[in-house]
Amino acid sequence: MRKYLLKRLLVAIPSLLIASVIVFSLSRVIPGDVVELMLQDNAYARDLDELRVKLGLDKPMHVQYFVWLGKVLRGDLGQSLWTGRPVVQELLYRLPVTLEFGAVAIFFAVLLGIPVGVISATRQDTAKDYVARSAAILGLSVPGFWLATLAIVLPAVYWGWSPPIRFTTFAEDPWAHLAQFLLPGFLLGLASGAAIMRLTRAQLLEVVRQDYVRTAWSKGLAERAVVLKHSLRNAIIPVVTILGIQIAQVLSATVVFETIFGLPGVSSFLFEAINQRDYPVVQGVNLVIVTIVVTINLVVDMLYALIDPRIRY
Amino acid sequence: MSADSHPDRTFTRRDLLKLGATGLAAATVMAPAPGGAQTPKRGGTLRFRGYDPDTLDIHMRGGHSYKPQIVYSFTHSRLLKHKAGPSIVPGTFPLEGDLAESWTQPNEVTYIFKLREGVRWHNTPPVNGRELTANDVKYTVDRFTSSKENANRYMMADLDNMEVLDKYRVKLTLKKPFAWFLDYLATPMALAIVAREAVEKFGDLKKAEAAIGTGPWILEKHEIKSRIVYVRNPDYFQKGLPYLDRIEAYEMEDKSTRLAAFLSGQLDLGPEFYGRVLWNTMKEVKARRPNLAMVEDFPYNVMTHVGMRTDKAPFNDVRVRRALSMAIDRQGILDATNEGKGAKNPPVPAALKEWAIPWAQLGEGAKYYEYNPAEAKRLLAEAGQGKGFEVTIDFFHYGSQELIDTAQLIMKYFKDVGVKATLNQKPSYAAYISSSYLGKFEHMVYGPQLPALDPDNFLQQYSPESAKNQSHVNDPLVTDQVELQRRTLDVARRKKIIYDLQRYLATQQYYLTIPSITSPSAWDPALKDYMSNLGYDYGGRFLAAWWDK
Repeated sequence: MRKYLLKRLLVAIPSLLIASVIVFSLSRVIPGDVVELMLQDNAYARDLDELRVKLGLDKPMHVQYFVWLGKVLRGDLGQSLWTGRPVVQELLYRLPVTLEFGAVAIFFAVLLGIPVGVISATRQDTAKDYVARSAAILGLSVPGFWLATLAIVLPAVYWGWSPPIRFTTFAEDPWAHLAQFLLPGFLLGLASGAAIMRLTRAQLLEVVRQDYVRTAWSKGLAERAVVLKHSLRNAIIPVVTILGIQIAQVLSATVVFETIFGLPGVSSFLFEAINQRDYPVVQGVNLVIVTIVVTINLVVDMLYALIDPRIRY
Repeated sequence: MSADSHPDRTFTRRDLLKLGATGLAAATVMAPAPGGAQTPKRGGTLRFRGYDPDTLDIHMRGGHSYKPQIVYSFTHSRLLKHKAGPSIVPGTFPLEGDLAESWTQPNEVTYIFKLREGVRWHNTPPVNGRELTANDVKYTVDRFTSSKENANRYMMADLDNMEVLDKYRVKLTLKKPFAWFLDYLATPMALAIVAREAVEKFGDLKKAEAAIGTGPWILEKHEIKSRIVYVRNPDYFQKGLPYLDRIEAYEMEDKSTRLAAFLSGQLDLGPEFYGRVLWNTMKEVKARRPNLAMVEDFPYNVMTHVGMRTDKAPFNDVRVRRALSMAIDRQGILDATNEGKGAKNPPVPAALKEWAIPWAQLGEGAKYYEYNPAEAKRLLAEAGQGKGFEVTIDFFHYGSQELIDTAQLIMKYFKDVGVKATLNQKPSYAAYISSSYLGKFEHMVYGPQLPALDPDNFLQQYSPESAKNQSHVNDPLVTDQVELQRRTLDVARRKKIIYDLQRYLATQQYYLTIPSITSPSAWDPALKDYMSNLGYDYGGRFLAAWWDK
């Protein structure tokens, strides 16, 4: 296991390096000059050049990359070109919001997806199954931003209610802090929950047709034991795999929800940074997100061994 | 000239109603909320949709944005400011002293400002409530004009020298007469007076702790991308003001979210810029909050236009430009995008009521703003373009459905007269601003302009020297008159020059102006002595406002 872990960590290094090159170069090849954006039509030409030198944007791109990489290796993700605040400081403030939001969404996705998938599989071709499958298709096909907009606007139009506009920190009021993630977390979790439900159902249907499950039934075991103890554990491995992918998808989907629900997370920050060509922020945030996704997938691989004792690394 | 003798105009409510009734003003007060004879009450919190700035240093990069300027309108003072309150007609900007008790103008290029005595900085370290003096004004002017990252530096480009005469008097000398100088001093965009100690302690003014001014409110909390909280400055130099104890500005990027917050009573002002409410949401707003105070048809100084390469064929032919202007159904655009509500713009936006020429006075050029596709085709044929031609229109959507719809309609109108337009949509704001907006495009560009409060910013679009000259206009007569209005201090004469210039520009159609939308500006009826207006001086407009509840 230790050897496998070490190997995976070593493989992660080139992955992160490649990601850093892609992130660095893509953010700079898209049209739009950050310096002209900063000074707009009021700048004197010499001011533009001076600002470019000050921000280090006058150097060749590969030089800028290695300067940046050197800083990253020392734990310095640079400073925002606009706010002047260190990217690390911004991340420390915003990343927990996005991670917490993502965790609530995944919680709802699992809470909805697995039980409904189990019911749907064990009640195959009944009304419950049809309802669950239809709901899952709906969950996958309805755009999250549309659902979120409806969830915000309709209660305000009909009942004069909308979610609190103020973001509450955990230190101020732990319950209010958690509560503000519930509605957006539930809505964000719906699409992932639908995907998890469909996979759980499909996997469970396959497992329940295995000989050892038939044996369990013939031994007279209760349905709960057959399904949850003998079948679900084997059916869940691909679900865990897709859960790792869903976490990455949830992180990328948070941008719209953070904007709609006024959550000061890292996704809306990244979106704004891209619009403003704030290169250090785009690079730093993306690098951190890539690292998180790589780590999550590593953890998912480790989880296999815990779920299925036959898997050994 | 003293503050009292300054040739500005204030309006009574009767004037306001007259203007509304005659249709001269776009503003019509439905349910104004002046305090009248009531005694203002202290206290309460006001919540509005705010704008979280990237930086709080208005003299540094990013400081040209309206976002930090709105913050400074609460926390800082300027030498002059625009009058605010129920007596002011939206779209007019009479001047009054802020830190300046009075001012004189001994000659065309010299201004002497007498500062109020006893003005104290916020009682916050490192300034700790010391008295503001003329040296602070000098420090600010020096910082403003020397910061190469300050995109608004152009506003003081004509300033030659500044002198401290004594503790409470400063003399500003210009290189040449500049008629808009006092107006520039009054906007929150330029000379909000900052404290040297704050800059020296924090290195710059980017941090919230450094936002130390002499303004009516103190910045208490800046929760990034969430909320800015201001609390009343107990030592504000206008005794008894402000009345509101606390102001909370909420960052709300999503249109639906801020509408919902307004409907549910979590915002006290309409959710859009200047407290506006969009016409297409009025039914819901009136149903949920029926007693709102409101200025209906509040003017908007964001003017969009189609710019053209007038230095190249076929746009160097005035007949082609006139034809394209007559091909556009301006009312049709308003019908499609804003329930038919809006104002046609001459070269200066109609929202700037004191400077935009009334249509009735536009003369011969007025006809080129009228929808007349048959005449457009005739003109194109006369110009040798009877078979039509193909153009690209550079464009960025700014996240605005109205802009997208308008761009599509313009293309349709052009097609109707034989001009096949293709939209060259820029992938991002950054790409648009650093190319098309600066006049780097092949044929045409369509988009909004800086929503300035003075006509000069709009007239600079015709000056060959200016980066705002998207259409590459080089018309000696226009260049001369644009410069002349800048140097003419007499308001009546300047107005005549600007009116004459607009008449001429209307005949030339260097830019095809598109109507600006109008929409109601609304606020909670219990908020008294408040009136919306254009510009970023939110703090100034809340200064004398109070809660009657």
